Amino acid sequence: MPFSRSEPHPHSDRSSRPENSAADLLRVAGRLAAGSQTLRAAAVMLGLAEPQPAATPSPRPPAPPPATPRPPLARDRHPRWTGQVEDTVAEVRPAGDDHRTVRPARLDPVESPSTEPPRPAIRSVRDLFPPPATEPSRPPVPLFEPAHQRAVLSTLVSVDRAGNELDFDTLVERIATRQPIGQPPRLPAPTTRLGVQLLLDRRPAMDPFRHDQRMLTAALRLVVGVDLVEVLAVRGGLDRAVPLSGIRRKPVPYRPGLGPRAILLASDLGIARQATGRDTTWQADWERLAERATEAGAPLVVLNPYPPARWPGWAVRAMTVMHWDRSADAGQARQAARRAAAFARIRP
Amino acid sequence: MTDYTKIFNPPLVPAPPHAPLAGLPEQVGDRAAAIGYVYDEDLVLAVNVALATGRPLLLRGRPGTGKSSVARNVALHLKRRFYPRTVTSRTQARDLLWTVDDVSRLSDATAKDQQVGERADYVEPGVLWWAFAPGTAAARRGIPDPNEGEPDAAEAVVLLDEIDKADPDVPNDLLEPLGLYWFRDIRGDVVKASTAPLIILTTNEERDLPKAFLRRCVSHTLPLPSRGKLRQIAEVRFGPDGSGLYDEVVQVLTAAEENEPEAGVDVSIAEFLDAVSAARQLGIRPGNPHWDMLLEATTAKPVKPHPPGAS
Repeated sequence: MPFSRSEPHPHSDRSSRPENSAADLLRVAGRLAAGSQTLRAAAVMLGLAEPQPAATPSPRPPAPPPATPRPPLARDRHPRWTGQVEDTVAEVRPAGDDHRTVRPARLDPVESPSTEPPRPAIRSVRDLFPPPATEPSRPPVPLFEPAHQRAVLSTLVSVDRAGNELDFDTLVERIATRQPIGQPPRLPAPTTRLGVQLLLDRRPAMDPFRHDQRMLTAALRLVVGVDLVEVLAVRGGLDRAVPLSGIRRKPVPYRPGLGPRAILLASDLGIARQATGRDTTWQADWERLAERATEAGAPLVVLNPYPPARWPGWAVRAMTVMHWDRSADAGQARQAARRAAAFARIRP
Repeated sequence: MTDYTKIFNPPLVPAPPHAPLAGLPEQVGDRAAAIGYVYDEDLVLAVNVALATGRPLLLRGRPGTGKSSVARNVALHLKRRFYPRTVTSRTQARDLLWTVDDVSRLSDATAKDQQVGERADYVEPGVLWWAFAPGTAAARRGIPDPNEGEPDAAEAVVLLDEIDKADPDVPNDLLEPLGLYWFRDIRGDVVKASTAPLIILTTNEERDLPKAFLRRCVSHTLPLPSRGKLRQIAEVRFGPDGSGLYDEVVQVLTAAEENEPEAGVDVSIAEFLDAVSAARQLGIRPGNPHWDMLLEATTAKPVKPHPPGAS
């Protein structure tokens, strides 16, 4: 809120009312002479209790407690060598000119007297380390610290536009130099009302961050508003960006939005593939993106999950990069937004 | 059967049709919708909890479920002053407290023979100032009281409609005025409410609201209306239905709803009432060649064509 320095903050005495608490429930009990049922409902409305789940029509009797699992034995974890050959296992050809087919020996566990169902054959690493499907699912954790995420994102996508406060310095200057005053000049104020364009780097190197990209998209929609977030997936080059926001899913050439709408790119900028020495094509695309953003006057910030020490020099010079990590806070976001605005030469 | 004493105790279903009350502004649009409001017990309890705790009441729910109409009706029943304000993407928290008409001051300064006062003389009170302290608000330069409720009542109801449209910082900037019921004006003087107003906020949940803000509100989600409730609302608004019109419109709208569950379209009370009102006033009934067009014009969702020959 743009309060000028000469004016007091309208509620500058910081003694805000505490959050909802049991005291509020006591007020309800006192003023409404509420019974237990009403108090329970009031506690839910005040956010002090979770709503009760809907009653099931025919509650089942409680299941018997599961039998105590016996501790795993060493022989269960490491099957014994039996010397038998598994016919169904894929053939393996030895290297070199020797084309004789060699059939690998089968690892066959020795039968144990246990009554447990037979264990499935181990055919791949996934069998040894199955995905933790049976574990209780934990809530996904975003790359940004959850407590800071809202502040970080709203800062990154805010753009300075003319606010409600008059810009007296400019106004006096215009009057003093006898310039016409058509529109009274206003002081800039950050706003998210222009929305944001989110580009998701969908190359295979970014696969480990696919879930983080999804969470980033959801978080942005909550902060900025669903209709104000345009999401584009970039996999086959910048000329083949796929819109993910609307119904259309056909690749289209990339275009920045109209005016100084913020652009976020979630990308490693080729770091993962550079490590293997194979990535040379994407640098040109991202440099072109930075040029297009500057031409459009749109602030571009790249969210990079790798640490700053690994960021490519060309990227640091051409655009604003921010570490997409738990260490990021609103202060860093402000710095990044300021730098991006300077690149875009934004004038409110 | 309730187990509490209600401060706010409206009839759940007003007598049909509800006559416009004397002394109120012209009853059109949402103003008329607010008069014949059909409550459910949960909503009545939410209003009572907000009144008992002095907390803002945050109403959630899909568009068209009657969130905005609640505040006007509550003010009507409690005989309070009423100050509605629709929040937009440009609204700043201070706009709800006060604004300064700098352009008028500049105009006065450039006009001949015009006395120009201090900047504070050009302050215009916002809805919260009017709700908290109407006496000091009225003392400001030439702005009439925007009260749309009971005149001269001591207490007020404020509607801050669609708070989720505002920039993310705005709800946090309102924590103290909405929690403590005071703020400072441009001179630094305290503007304080002598009695706690009831603040009702609505959100379509297009954006997430700050958790610190949510933790200081009484929160209630208005459910989507059932077919029975839609019929009930129409009876309250227009009187009993002898021709089956209400059922027919309900049937068409909810049939379209069932056809497209994944599209996320809901039966909006406002759309339903528009369809019924237009059909009544224009004499268009099911089977009329204009029936489908009327429904398409008054509702945002695709409507199943009426079977030919059916009446």
